Amino acid sequence: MNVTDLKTIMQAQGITREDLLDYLRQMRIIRNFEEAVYDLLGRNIIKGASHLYAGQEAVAVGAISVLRDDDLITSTHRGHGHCYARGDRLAKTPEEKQEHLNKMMAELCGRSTGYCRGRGGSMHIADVERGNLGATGIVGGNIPVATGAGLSMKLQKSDRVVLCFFGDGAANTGNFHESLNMAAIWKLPVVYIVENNLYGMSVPFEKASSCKNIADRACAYCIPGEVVDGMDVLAVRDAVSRAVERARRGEGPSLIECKTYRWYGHSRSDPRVYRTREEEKAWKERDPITNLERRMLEAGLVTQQELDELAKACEKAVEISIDFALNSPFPDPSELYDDVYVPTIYTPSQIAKERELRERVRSDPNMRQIYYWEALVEAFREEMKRDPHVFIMGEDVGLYGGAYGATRGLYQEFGPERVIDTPISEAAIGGAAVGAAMTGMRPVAEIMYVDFTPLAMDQIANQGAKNRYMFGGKTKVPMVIRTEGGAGRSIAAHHSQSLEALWTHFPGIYVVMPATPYDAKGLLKECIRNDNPIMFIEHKMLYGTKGPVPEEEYTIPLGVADIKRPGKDVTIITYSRMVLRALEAAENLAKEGIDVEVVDLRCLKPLDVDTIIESVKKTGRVVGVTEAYKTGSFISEVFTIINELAFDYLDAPMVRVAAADVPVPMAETLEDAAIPNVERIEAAVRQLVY
Amino acid sequence: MAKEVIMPKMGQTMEAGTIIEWYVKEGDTVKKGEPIFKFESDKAALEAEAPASGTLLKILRHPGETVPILEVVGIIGEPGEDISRYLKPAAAPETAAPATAPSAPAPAAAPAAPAAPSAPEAPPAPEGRRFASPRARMAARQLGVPLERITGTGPGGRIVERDVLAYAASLPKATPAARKLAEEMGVPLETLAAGPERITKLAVERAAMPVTPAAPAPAPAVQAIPMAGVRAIIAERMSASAHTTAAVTLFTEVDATALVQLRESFKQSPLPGGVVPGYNEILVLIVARALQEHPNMNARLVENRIEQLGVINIGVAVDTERGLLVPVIRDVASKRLGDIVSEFRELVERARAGRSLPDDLSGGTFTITNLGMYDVDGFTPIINLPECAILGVGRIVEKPAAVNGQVVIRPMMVLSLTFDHRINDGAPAARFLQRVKQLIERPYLLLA
Ligand SMILES: Cc1ncc(C[n+]2csc(CCOP(=O)(O)OP(=O)(O)O)c2C)c(N)n1
Ligand SMILES: [Mg+2]
Repeated sequence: MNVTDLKTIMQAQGITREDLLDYLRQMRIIRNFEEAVYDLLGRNIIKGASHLYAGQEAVAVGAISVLRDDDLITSTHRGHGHCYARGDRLAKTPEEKQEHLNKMMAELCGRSTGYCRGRGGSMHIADVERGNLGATGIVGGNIPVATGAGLSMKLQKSDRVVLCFFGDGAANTGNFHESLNMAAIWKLPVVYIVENNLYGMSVPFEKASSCKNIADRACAYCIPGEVVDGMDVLAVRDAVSRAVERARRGEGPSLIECKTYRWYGHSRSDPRVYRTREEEKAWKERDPITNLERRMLEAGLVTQQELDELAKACEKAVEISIDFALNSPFPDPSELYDDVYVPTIYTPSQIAKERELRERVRSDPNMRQIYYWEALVEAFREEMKRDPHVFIMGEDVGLYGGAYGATRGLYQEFGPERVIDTPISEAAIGGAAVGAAMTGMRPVAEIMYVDFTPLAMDQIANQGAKNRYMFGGKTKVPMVIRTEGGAGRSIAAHHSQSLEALWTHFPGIYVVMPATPYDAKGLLKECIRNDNPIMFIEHKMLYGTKGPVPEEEYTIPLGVADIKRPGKDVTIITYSRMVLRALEAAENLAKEGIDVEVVDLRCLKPLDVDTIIESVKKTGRVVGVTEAYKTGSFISEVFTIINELAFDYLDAPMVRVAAADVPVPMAETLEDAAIPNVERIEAAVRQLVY
Repeated sequence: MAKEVIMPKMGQTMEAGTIIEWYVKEGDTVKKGEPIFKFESDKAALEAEAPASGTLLKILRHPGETVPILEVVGIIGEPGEDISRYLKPAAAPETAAPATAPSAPAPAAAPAAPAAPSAPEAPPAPEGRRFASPRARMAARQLGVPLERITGTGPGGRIVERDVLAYAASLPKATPAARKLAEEMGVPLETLAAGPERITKLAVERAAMPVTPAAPAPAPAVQAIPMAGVRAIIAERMSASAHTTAAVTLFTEVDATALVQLRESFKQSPLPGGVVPGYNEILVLIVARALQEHPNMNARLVENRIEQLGVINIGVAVDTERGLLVPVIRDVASKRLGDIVSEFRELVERARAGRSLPDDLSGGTFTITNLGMYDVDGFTPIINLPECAILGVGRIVEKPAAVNGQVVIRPMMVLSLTFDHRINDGAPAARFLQRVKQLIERPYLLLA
């Protein structure tokens, strides 16, 4: 490249000498920052993993330089460069820029002054307030989230654009495929930037793919794909700006592959046996920083002295950030539980009001009766009318009305933009919900069967449930993942499980399991309004059940159990369909003089511990009924809580009635033997009444 | 052929009897129908008869033991007869056999039984280790009763809350602290049981205090009387009453001038057969009249109903060697004073001799208790369940009284009526008491 080239490029891109100096400064600071981090890691001042960005600076700086202040990015485990470039551009004064660097360094050092209050560290650094939706420790984990942010922009009729950075290794994940396909069909404003540094940890890309270029895969989604020199900040800039413009015009996503190289090993412990010193030398000769400096010198845009001064200033800035970080306090252990959830606070009168309502509903013989599925549709209709940010997505939720009819008629009423049929891409559905929720929407995503939720588990649990906490409480993820579970239709082990325990295990997500139409409607409405991620698990055998539901508007507070039947001899703790079986068992047992209390948890998380403990104190005898596999079921957790809080009140060992530890079988005789039935519940109660 | 001697069931409510004395020794011969042993039921001391003639081969249960009805207490037969089967150790306490499926279903084709084992049954307690549910332990802690004394009725003999409550109810009333201290100091609470009051920690401390400083530490020198027979029954009934009733006591002072005169008149001219009615007997008549007029006081609480009773049976508390007994005079309202007197005297005689018939001591609808002979004025009697009230009668004593603006000396008497506020309110109870007072002060009203 010669002198004329640089000036021509500047003209073509409409950038000034000051812009170039800015790129240089950003790249230098990133470089110095990474060198300092490498040193601090070696001195064990920074703990944990740190994947350094040195060598790849031109990609982040070039790509981000084309963004508007209101655009968005998502980042990766190798994300310091993205975070710095984005924050630096939005910081308008030198003080703000220094502050930005300080907060980054403090986060890496695990200090409370860091971007994420010391909870995220290197791999989860985020500055959501400034459009950085965060880095992820899951390779490829950010790609669906970026796609969801793109969907959100499109639904909000905004022309904001999302840049999604990821590595060559991530390009081989299912997330990559599902997301690019989804973005392509809906023409989402996302620019996917793959930084091909030739290796995924130690494995060369040529061993991980038969394609020469990752950008070639764009043709699979009928979107533009382009390979650029990732060592040239202006080349990256050029390609990204064309893709961003296209996205802004509503023409859809692009895939840009930046060929680049990382100076250090994958992480500090990496001896780099998989690459030769010659290869490293060859790439270092193409150092994006010295390259740009040389070109600016040659073009007479800068003097050596100016460059030296700039380098010194950059070094100084990083030194200040280290000082700041090391003089900052570590987070106080008392902050441990902060920001796991957006606090949900109900007044005693709200709770009392709902209790009165439900008592009225139960006792009023003239109350209208509707189906469980109708209750869900009503909840949707009311909430979608109330809040334009609410939308539905999932497989077959549109014209078809959902596999179990929970979205029937809504497509006709609200149109394809608010009731969106998705491809069969569970991970992308989950991730898109996360991304949309983080950027202002209130998605309700349906996963057709709870058996399929593990396909979306990374997105829902690792990204959705954890982002708020990891990112220092600076984001919220108000999404509902609706799904259904349970046995009863002879459709065997891939369509009949009760997997709620998988979901209660993760901090940061609520789990709600209504048993009646009244509960289903009131809880779904409340979940849609709640600011936390929620797994809303229906039961396939309940859709066709009817129950009283008031005409009037109501919601049900989360974390409030319902005593579906009061009794004094034995407490049955249960939820979802098993509530109905427990009630039947209770009626039969009443004829034998055994007075059973049936506690319907309604929400497994948040859990109404008070109601459980009160009931245990009353009866001293507990049967837990669940349709989930016995080993590790949520009921076992409830028992542990009882053990911790009400041990002295137990007059007998607690008894579980749970599904057999076998994949739910198809044949009815086997299915019935595997799933708790009324007789087995009765037998368990009798066993306790001696 | 050996013949079993059993604890007989005497009277509808009898469930067990405490053996007081065997009249014959092992090896003695007995005749069918002869009294063979003496026992005490919940009502009275009674005699059991030999079921056959022969030799008393074996005494299985000894004086002091409480034996459920129909259980074998001895064997009659021919000398040398094999009675070894009666000598086996008593059957192990019931092990729980819940109605649920066997623990491991047969591997049959039928898939009905789930393969998953049902909750494991509690294993039998190993030697020396006593299993108790956490709830039972908490109850025992709160009530201050030792688990070691309790027999468990849960699976594998586990002590459950019910067992603790039952045990505690069988004990004299004491504060938990008193119970705990008594256990630690080895003071049998029974020895401290003093009427209806709870035994306090202080009382236990006093009892435990060595008589002389040099006295050896263990077992303070107090007499241990087993809590059995009449004593145990009184304890149980009194505490049941104190725990369940809402007892209120009303006091009123009565001018006994007319009553004293009445008795003096009877002394002058006795009833046929030379019978002179006592105060208690006259009071029985008066109270029966008042009850006829106030049927609300002749009532009892059955489940959720208040039942007013058609007949008036009045019990009169009598102090006997064996403790407090309450013989009951039946259908008082239909009887004349003479009948009342003779019936009551027979009842008392049998009670004092320990020969009460099973029904002598049951079926009362109202009780009168008189402590006047001990110079007591007023007191707070405990209702004799299931009755709804009890009248306490104090001594008749001359006192200055104001009559028509003059201080005069009059024989006065205090009446103490304890009634169950669950069944009656204060005003109706007071009206009843007032009526009793009127009838005592103006006995001619009985003619009305
Ligand atoms: C889902 C997942 N699989 C594996 C890893 C372990 N891991 C962390 S980084 C990495 C390599 C990723 O390669 P690439 O996407 O090319 O990014 P680079 O590290 O080269 O920037 C691997 C395998 C992970 N964090 N997440
Ligand atoms: Mg790579």
